[in-house]
Amino acid sequence: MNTPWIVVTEKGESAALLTMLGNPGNARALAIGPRELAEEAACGTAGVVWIDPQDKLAESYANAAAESLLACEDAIAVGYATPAVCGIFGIVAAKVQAPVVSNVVKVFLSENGTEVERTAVDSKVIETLSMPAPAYLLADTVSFQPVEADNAAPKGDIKPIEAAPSVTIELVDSSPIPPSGLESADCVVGVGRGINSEEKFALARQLANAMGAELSGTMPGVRDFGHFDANADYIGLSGVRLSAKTYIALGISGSTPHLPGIANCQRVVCINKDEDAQLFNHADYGIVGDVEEIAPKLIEALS
Amino acid sequence: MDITLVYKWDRDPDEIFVREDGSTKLRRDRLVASDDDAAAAACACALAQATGGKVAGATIGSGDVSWAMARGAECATSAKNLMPSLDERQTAESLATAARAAGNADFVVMGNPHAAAGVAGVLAALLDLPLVAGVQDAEPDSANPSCIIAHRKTDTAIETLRIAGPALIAVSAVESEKNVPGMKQMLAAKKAPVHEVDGQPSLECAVSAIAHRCPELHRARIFEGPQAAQELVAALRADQAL
Repeated sequence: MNTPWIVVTEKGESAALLTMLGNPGNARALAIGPRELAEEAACGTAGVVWIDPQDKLAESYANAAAESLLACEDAIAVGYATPAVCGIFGIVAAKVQAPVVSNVVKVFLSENGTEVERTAVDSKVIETLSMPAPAYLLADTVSFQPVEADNAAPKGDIKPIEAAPSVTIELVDSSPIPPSGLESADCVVGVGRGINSEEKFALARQLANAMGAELSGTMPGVRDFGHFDANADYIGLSGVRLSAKTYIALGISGSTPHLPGIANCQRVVCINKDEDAQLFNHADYGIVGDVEEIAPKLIEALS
Repeated sequence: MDITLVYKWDRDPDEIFVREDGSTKLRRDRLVASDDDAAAAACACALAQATGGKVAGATIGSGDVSWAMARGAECATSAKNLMPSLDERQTAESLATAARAAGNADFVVMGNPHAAAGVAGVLAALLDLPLVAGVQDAEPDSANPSCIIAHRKTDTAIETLRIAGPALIAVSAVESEKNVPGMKQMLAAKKAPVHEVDGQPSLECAVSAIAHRCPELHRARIFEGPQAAQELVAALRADQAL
């Protein structure tokens, strides 16, 4: 039987990764972060190898972390695609010539190797892949958002590892990102590539005003058309993640990088003239039509 | 500072037709550069220009090799018989073939697409370089000529990093390409030198696709007709979402 591993660098990752593995009782964890991260990883695992990076970056310890995984010849390791985990999996996979697969949503462990389901082609396909152990798997961030750990689960031992950091990377400064207001907003109107004119953007702004909503959008919607300040926040995988009651998406197709940003919204509304827009498959409500036609009617209905 | 720019190594999802059963068909089996590649090219050229260095491209597979030269690379090395694999380690091995043939560099710079996030880590390891992923921009470190200063965004902070070369820098795009080359640059790029390398495609892939399906779709409730907007607002109010 293969040995399942989770590799975590941020809080909330452990429980989601264990769910992906089917919560096997024998999973082991490699945690690079503060003591609380290791304690969280100990919930539901048989033991944790822990590296405390203190004031250094987690990826500075990639080589030491990789050694822990290399010691396990039949590891099926899963992690989020953070810089540290990508580095660790790269080192190990290159050394033992083992497969690496991204966007994994489910892992089926068996005697004769491993099968995984992963999303492909912009999340339009779920592929089942077969591979031998060891294998190194990166989680699909749309399907597996970090969640709170189940503190009632049994706790494994935490084994600290002393390691010297790499001197290649130095963290010169880490400036907290001031809240944009989007994270805690109740209502958000988002614009995408379909809002490509001043006229359409003015309608989006009027709709946001009528709802008392914040106005933002996808990376191209915010950055490509000059509607927003140059450094304005956008919604998505590398941007802000919303927890709004209502998100109204105007002219947004629903590409994979945008979806993690709206996964925690209670109600998602898609308004798009393309009835095949991917976002209709992730929204609760929708109207197929041109924003120039629909937005004024919505504003009127809200008044 | 001499930079190797690794680019154009994945397929364009828009060129992949998905059938109802989840099987796929390639409209054209050619590789394209992504937004992340464009961000990496801008980063590589900015570093080289600021330090009097040069950018050499490294690519695999089919598609437009001159893409990098149209964006400032002097030349490229292409292993056109190597294509991306289901196993991202194999894709990285193919890229390593091209990157090694491109010669020594102070930094290797590449795009960091989420769809194949494992490639950069393996490539870094194969080239015996540390990986710095998720970088958004980089500039030379005025205090230390062998280092660069890079920025990246995490969920909670903007990190400023000092990175000593050599290293592999994986760049994530934060906007679509701004300075798309014009026809004159693209035509000139076609004349830039391209060094072809004869990579050996791997006969066996450790990863095999055994099934495929379309995800179960939760289609939105669609409001139609002249009352669609009013009905939508009423539904949101009934849900206490407004």
